Amino acid sequence: MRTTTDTPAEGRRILGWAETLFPARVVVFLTVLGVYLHLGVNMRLVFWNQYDLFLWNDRFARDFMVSAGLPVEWLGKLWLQPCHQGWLGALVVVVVLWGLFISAEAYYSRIELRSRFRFTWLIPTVLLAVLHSQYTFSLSGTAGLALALAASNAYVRVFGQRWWARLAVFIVASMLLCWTVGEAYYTFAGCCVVYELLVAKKRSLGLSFLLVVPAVTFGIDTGLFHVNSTYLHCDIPEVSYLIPPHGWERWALVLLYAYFPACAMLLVAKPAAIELWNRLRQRVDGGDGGRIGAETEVTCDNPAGQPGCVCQKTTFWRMGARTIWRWVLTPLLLVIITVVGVEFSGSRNVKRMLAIDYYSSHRMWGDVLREANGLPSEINRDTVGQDLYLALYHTGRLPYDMFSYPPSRLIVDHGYGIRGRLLSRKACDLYLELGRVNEAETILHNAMEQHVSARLLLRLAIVKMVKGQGDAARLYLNVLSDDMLYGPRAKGYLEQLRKDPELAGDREISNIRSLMLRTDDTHFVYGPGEDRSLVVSVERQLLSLLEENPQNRMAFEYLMALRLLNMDVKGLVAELPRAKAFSYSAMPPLYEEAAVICAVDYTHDLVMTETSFTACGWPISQETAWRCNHLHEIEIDCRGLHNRRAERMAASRLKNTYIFYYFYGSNQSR
Amino acid sequence: MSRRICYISLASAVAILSLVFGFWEFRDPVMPAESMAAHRLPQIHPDYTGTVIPPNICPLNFVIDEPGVSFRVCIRGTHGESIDVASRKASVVIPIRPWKKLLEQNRGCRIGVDVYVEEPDGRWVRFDTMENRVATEDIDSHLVYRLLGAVFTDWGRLGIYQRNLENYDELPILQNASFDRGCVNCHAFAGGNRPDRFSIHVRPSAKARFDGGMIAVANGRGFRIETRSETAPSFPTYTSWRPETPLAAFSLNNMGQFLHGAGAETREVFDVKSDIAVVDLKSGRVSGVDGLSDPTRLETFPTWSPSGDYLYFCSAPALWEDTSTPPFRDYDQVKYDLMRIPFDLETDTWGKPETVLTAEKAGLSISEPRVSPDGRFVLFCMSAYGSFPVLQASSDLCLMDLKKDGESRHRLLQNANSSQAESWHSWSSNSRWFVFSSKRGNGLFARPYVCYVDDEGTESKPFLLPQKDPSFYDTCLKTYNVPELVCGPVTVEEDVLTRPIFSEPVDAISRATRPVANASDTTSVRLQSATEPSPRKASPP
Repeated sequence: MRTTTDTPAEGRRILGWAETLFPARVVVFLTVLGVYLHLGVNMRLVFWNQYDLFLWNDRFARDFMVSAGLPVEWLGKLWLQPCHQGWLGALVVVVVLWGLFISAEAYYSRIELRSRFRFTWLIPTVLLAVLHSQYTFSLSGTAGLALALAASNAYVRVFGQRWWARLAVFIVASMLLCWTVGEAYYTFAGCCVVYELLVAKKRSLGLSFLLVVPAVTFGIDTGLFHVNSTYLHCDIPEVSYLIPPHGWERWALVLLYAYFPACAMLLVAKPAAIELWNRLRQRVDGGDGGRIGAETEVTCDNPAGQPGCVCQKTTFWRMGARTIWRWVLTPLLLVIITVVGVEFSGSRNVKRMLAIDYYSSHRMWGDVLREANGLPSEINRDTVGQDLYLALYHTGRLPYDMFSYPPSRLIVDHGYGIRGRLLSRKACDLYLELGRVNEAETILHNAMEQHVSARLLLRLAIVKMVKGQGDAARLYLNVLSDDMLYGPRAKGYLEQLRKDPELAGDREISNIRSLMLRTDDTHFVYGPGEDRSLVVSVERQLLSLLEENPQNRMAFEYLMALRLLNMDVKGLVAELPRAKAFSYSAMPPLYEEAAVICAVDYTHDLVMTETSFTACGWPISQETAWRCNHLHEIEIDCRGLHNRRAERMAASRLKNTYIFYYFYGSNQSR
Repeated sequence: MSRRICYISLASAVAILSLVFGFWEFRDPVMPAESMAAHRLPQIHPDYTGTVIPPNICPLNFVIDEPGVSFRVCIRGTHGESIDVASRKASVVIPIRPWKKLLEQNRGCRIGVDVYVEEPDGRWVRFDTMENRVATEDIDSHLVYRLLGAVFTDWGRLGIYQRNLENYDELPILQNASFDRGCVNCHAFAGGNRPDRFSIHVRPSAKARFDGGMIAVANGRGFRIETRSETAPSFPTYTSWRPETPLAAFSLNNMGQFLHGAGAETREVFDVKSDIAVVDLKSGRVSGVDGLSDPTRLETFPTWSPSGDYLYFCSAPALWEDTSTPPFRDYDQVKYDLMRIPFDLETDTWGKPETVLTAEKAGLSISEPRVSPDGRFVLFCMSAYGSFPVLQASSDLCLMDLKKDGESRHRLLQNANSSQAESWHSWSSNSRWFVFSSKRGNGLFARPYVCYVDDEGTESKPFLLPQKDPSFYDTCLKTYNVPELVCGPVTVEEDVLTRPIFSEPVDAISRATRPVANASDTTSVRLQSATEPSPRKASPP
């Protein structure tokens, strides 16, 4: 018995289908892109930057239905979820882009049979590759474009020739697309207009489309505005990433939207242009030689892209060496252009910042320190410095190595939650760890006013649980329990709260509780500012914590770090007795250096004997004494410390020390 | 031919299945014939048991917090047909028409709610009947409130909304998305809870393109009234319209705010300075009153008696002379007295302020007084200190019977109060109901509660404003602020309110075009040394 696939015709047909659905160049490009996204970009960081909240319920989805273009944002958020798994996110991007390219090629083949449309995909591939290398580019942009092109392809293929039917279909499709994909709708409209005007030659219909487009846009906006204004509790979602998108990304997307209809126009005009060119050449040369397009003209009755139409396409298996070279060279060229584009876009720095934030948030302190090594100067150190100091503290290296890295603010300028998600997250986590729970709560509430996110909700729930306000915590956890990522954790907390309302058995909650400030220190930490606003003293906040709990090691090391950074050596020495509460095997060298500087500059309490060396009453180790001696030698050699030569020498001999920071390093930090 | 038969068969099958499913789903539920008595009330939320409900309220949907696989509820009154509800989920959504009919037929009577829960083994458990009483008096049909997040020192989206209490319709009156994310607050309606005459206050955000101020609405038109002057730069805060006359008293509060390092409540808001002024909405004239702008005292929360003969207000001695540095030390020592001042409309004269109840006698600070429309009761908040009861868990509602004298004149409403903050109360036009914001339940987000008061001033157990989705409040991250009862819907469109925000101030509702500067010249409110705090730093909720 013979199956249908046994016949050569059926085999060719299947091959035709495969070539239509998986053109070799698209497969090559998407494979390279997929591997690059997974290994080079790290989709987890894309997720980390873009993810805020995705609740799997109708109330959340409803917020995305009341404004044009928001349904595709919802879809983009849905497609962002797999990015949490890294490789799965890369796969999703590849699949969406595959849909985009297939739709585009099918559309092109419908409007211009003889075209090879190879050039049409060069710019989109580069742009899409560069855009998806950005951690700030939303999947919804690509998804919207893919939907618009799929709709364009469906429009030019599926519907009959009656003008009223086409007009009706266009209006309905326009309304749907305008609502779902927003600005990408113009791509659909452009493709349809080009088809009707230049391919189907139905000029009146094409021109009427041009009138339909603004009418539909206006109608949808007005209608949805009415729906929106009568909806209650409806928050129109806004983009609020940890690191916000670049301005040029939007223009790149607009370029992509415009590119496909423009390309269609070019394709339609191409034969006429070639013909014109050939006529001109003929007139000039008087012969037929060098006629452009002669080799590409192949007649065919089957529309391209349909199953079985393989006659005018060169299959991969029938290619010659020259063609294969072209197949290899083109992607290679694209890769080079893309790499250059990515380099210039600055996404590497964004990746570095996100990686540090990600590792810090996941308490991967070793990775934070690894990423913080050799940070490029373009990165604002204040955005990563806080994570760096936190990592140093948690690895026990803060009093030893804090000047091994470029100095930055110890506590980020969070503006109590109004300076964006990235800084809010950092400040909130730091305050929680220190034990200043009320400050963390204020930051979280203010940040929630800017933008709701799952991480904020979870932290608010934790704050409320720490403060023993289980009912309020339950409210946040109820919301969060529908989140696709944090839902299970929220449900776990709800179950815990049900069993043990005080959460006495939860280690994380107990840890924060043990450090939590319990005495109001408002009078102590606030002071009048320049206008009638109030100024909070971070130093006093740390002192309050230490007064209440002298065992709060983090508060102590942060207080000392703050005084080191502020070059308040006298203040540091005054707090040194508190160090006895902690199990330092020996006085940390940075504190020793500060004590020596204090003794020299202020108290003149420096005692050196053959067997011991004390500064301000504190014993100084041999290593620190040597470092001080180096400085003394440099001073003698260079006839003072404040000259370039002395600085160069100090940089080579006293690198990563507090002494160097005190005399030279603070200038660099500024 | 065969294909056509195929299609017809398929369509018929779908239609039959739909009919069967529809019949099954929407058939009248039958209460279980046999059930086991639990001998206790069922656990439900919100708590709709043992309360008094208005005959015109929408159904009190609730969630049964009992484990089970199927649920039946029977609501029955002394008169009329009972309502049976069946559900596989624990949410009980009562049909609105039979409910309205049942309440109408049972005015002044009790209604009972029987709850049956089917256990996994197929046995039904019957709980004790939950009983509520239907009052004879209606509640005003609409509630207007501000919805905002748990605002701390900054705000995002907020707006003023109205809710039809007879169903679940909720519509925005003014959302801050319409005016540069500014702040909108302290809506106040004219006497008799009229929805056609009211005022709101708007304040600019950091990037706003408008000045802010009082927006008054009358006869379907909105006007911005400039109440500030160089000597009184504060925005108006709390406003009260004098009944039947275009005269409104408002407070000018210069607020300070700081954060507590420890404790349940993180914020503290206090008045650095405050005075009360009066605006004649006809002439646009803003004027100070001697007894209401005493430099040695903080006056706030003006509210007219229904006759308009008295203006009630709260007043406390100003404990700090120097307002350039925040008065931290004494903020929790400020306690407000309840006072009133007589006013004669005919002669346009004010009398001497009288003390109605001193903080010393009450032992607590008095704030937010509201006189019932029948003039008999004054409802106010009592809290440990200050004039921001919404941030104090100690804040409780207190009722004063103006017909009585002596110690029994005022009392805390034990049935209405909770361990969390109660504040922002509003009387219905018939004086039998009041709505207030309470933080009971979570301690952070305030919810509107409805409470019945009989003619002797005895309050019933309050109940939470019902929602169509009974678990709505479980995930609602908005606080209900300043709930105000009104007799009908606010019909002005949003642009009637937003247009004046961006336009030049008009100093009279009669649309007189006299320059505002004249009005400011007459202002005698003293806030000379005070500077307005950054509008994003203090938002009085």
